Amino acid sequence: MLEIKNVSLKHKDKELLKDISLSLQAGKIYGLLGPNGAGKTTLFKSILNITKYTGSITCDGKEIDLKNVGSLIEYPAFYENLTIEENLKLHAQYLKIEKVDICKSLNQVDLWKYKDKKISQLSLGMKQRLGIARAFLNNGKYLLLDEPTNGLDPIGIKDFRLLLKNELSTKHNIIIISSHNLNEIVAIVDVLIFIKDGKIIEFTDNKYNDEKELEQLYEKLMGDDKEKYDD
Amino acid sequence: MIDLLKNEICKLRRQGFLLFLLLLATFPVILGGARTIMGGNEFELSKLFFFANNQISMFFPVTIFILVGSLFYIEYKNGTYINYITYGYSKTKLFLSKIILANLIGILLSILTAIIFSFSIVVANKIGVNIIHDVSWTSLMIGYFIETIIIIVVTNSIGAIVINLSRSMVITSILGVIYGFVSALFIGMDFGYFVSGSFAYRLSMYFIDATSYYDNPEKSTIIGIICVIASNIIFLIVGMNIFSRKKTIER
Repeated sequence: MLEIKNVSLKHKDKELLKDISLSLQAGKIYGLLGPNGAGKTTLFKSILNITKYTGSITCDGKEIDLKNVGSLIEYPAFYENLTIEENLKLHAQYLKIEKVDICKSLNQVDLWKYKDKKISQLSLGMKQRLGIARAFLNNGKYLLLDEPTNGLDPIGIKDFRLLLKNELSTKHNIIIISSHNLNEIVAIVDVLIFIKDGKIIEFTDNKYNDEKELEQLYEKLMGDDKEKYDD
Repeated sequence: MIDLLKNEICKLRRQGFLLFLLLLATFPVILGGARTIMGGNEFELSKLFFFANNQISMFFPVTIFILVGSLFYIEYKNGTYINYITYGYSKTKLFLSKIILANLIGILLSILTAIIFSFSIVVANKIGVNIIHDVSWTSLMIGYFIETIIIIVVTNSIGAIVINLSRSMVITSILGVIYGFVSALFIGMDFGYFVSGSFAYRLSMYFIDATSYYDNPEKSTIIGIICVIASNIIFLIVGMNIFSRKKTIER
């Protein structure tokens, strides 16, 4: 269980996170929804322990072991001079993953045939897919995906959805996704978390059948901030 | 630490800046070597080294400054910094792995420069230029390696501070050039032993001409060595603190 207790973060007189408390259970996919600047990425960074937050974020009562976390935060960043395969190997070396199946990981995101391409030769969509492959390379207990379908074409989005649902989500791990794509969120996640101005304003099971129903709830919760969401 | 070093070495594949640094580091001796081979019939070894070492004392700190800057800049340029610091290693270890690698590459550049210098003398001899061995090659090399090792360790610590504060290679390169000039500026001064680069130069020249050393050799040497060690420790601690301190939000 991932326990976030009374987490707050202030930066230059602005409260980026306000007293956030969440209990996230293994085996579920959580969707984090909110307008730009609501605090989604800051919350992810706090889970990764790279912000000066107050409060506590623990895993089964202990500090989170970062080697158990896979993440794709903000944008997919890689060593541009290295190839796809070299980047994943380096990532595996840092995490000390002994049995790493790079071929399988790259095949899952349809990049194996480009394994010898340098990162500087890839499109944004390919980088995004590689970012997803890297995030789940260690089969971590926690998978944090910040806008994972940015730059993906409709087929790529569909493939990602199937990959997440059918292969990555297990009863042992916790996946948190932030996305601007309600259609994607409604189809993937088990639990919806709405965040606005650094505060969790709604935490509910995903019982919605389509994007329109979710959009209505989103509009109701976000009010004036909907415009920001559409940006 | 060994694993972290190996990972750092992996990142250097196809990095063009290494070739640039090799040219920058060896430029003074290539120039000196060409001058020897083409410029006359007779040269004294001490004069050849003196000519090359004047350039080295200025170019080598610049090279090392750019080297250590580039090793840290890899993370900032590629945007991999966030990934890099979330692998679960202490930032102190990450910082030291880059500093150790910068020191190792610096020493390698220093050795290559010495090889090119020695090779140009051999070539000059072969084509008929008379090289007068007025100083022993061994003492000359001892002086040279003491000088470059001092430059490498101190400059790496200073360069790490600059790149991690600025996150800009332009600023780091400009400050590297200024640092090289400042080091050279203090070479002739009586109290120059307070500046590590200047002290290193005078120390290396002592091995080929003891009269070119400071007026009070014992005092100068002791103070110079204390300054080198103290400044390196201080710069290293400052650099480590800058790199390791937790920011409100890492970017």
